[in-house]
Amino acid sequence: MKAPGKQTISVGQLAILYVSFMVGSSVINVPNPMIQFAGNMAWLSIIVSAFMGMLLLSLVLYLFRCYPDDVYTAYLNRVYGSWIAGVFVVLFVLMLFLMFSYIILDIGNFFTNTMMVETPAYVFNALTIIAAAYAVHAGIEVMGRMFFLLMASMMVAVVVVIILAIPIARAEPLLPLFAEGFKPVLHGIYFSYGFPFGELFLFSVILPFVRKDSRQHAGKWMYAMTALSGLLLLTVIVITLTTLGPLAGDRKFSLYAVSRLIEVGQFLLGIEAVVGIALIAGSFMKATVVLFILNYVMSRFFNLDDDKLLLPVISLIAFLLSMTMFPTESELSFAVHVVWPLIVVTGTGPLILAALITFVKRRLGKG
Amino acid sequence: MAERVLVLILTGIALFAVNVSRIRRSGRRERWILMSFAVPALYLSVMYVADEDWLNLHDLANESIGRIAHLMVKWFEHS
Repeated sequence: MKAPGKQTISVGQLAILYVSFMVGSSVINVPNPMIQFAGNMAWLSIIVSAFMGMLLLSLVLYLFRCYPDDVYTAYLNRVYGSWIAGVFVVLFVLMLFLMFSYIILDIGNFFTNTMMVETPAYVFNALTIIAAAYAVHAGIEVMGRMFFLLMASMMVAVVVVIILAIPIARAEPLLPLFAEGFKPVLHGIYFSYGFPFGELFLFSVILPFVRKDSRQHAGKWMYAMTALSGLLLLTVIVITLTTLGPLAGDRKFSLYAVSRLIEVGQFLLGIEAVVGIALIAGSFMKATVVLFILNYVMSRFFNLDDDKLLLPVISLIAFLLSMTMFPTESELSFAVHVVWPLIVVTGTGPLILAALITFVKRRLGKG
Repeated sequence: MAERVLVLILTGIALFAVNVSRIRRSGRRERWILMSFAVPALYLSVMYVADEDWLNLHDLANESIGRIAHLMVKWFEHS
């Protein structure tokens, strides 16, 4: 893996990586808890979270304009000094380890709950981590090119399910509005800002890899892809609410549950297997992007010449974390639904503060 | 237990296979950094193989930020 500037991606590839990161695992994991928390107002929560995500994105892009060749950790160093930045980077790395392990666990859980219930989870966890490690080993350019096909197949699967589910959708479950007040909506915002919109700040690490000649368009693409991610999640939530009705909050992996209901004539049924694999491709892409960021940040932290040296050991630790962290599924649910959003909100703190400090410094002419 | 050991070995081989030459070429400093990662890897390996529920990374999150998160979510749920 080369340093930013040597290994580069186009702004289109950035958009592919970004959208796969944003909707990759969220399209399958977000709708069900969102509906559990916010009920039939989950659509409002996702809209508010998407706008909050765009505000955060504006800060990420502001810092990218101020420090165009520095990755996230480098400008933390500039703003806070090496000691405070070091503490932030260590916490950031722990957060990335958690995030990567949670995504891997989600993939294993999906398979063991739906399609391959007899197969042990370590099969999926190990295979996903090995595939992700090899993709990261190949480099960000290869990831950008490869993810185009995976992303396209996932998008086609999602759009096909949405279109085929429209005939069985009913509008009644969307009413009444605010039946339980505003707190459930806030709960939905808390969850969906943490997963996935707040997570977009991780792209501070990826942005310096964009080719210099196309950097001026990076912001536009990222705003557009954030809007697309929000729209896609919104559509999936609405279609889940309107097709599953009162059961929407109880059915895990909502889009997969919706796809099981689809039956066109007597010939098109059982499409959930194809849909499931396409959705898991999304989670795999997100896991790969997170592993890339984790590996890159650690290599920079230790100032290594060879950026691939730590990749196997990082992957092995993540595999072991995924196998040892949660004895029961309810503990994973607590960690992802309750604790993770606050970890993300806290994780964005140093970035928001860095943007503020940089802004004030520039205003005072010291930046 | 034997199954877990086998899973661990096979996963390790698959992950480290492409990096053997890199590790051989690496200098002393790089090797020390790699060795430092062996500590958490070993701890987690023993935990996995022995099927024990020892202190883990998510416990760190749950015991620190998790308490605040729990209070917040309780407040959201109390309508």
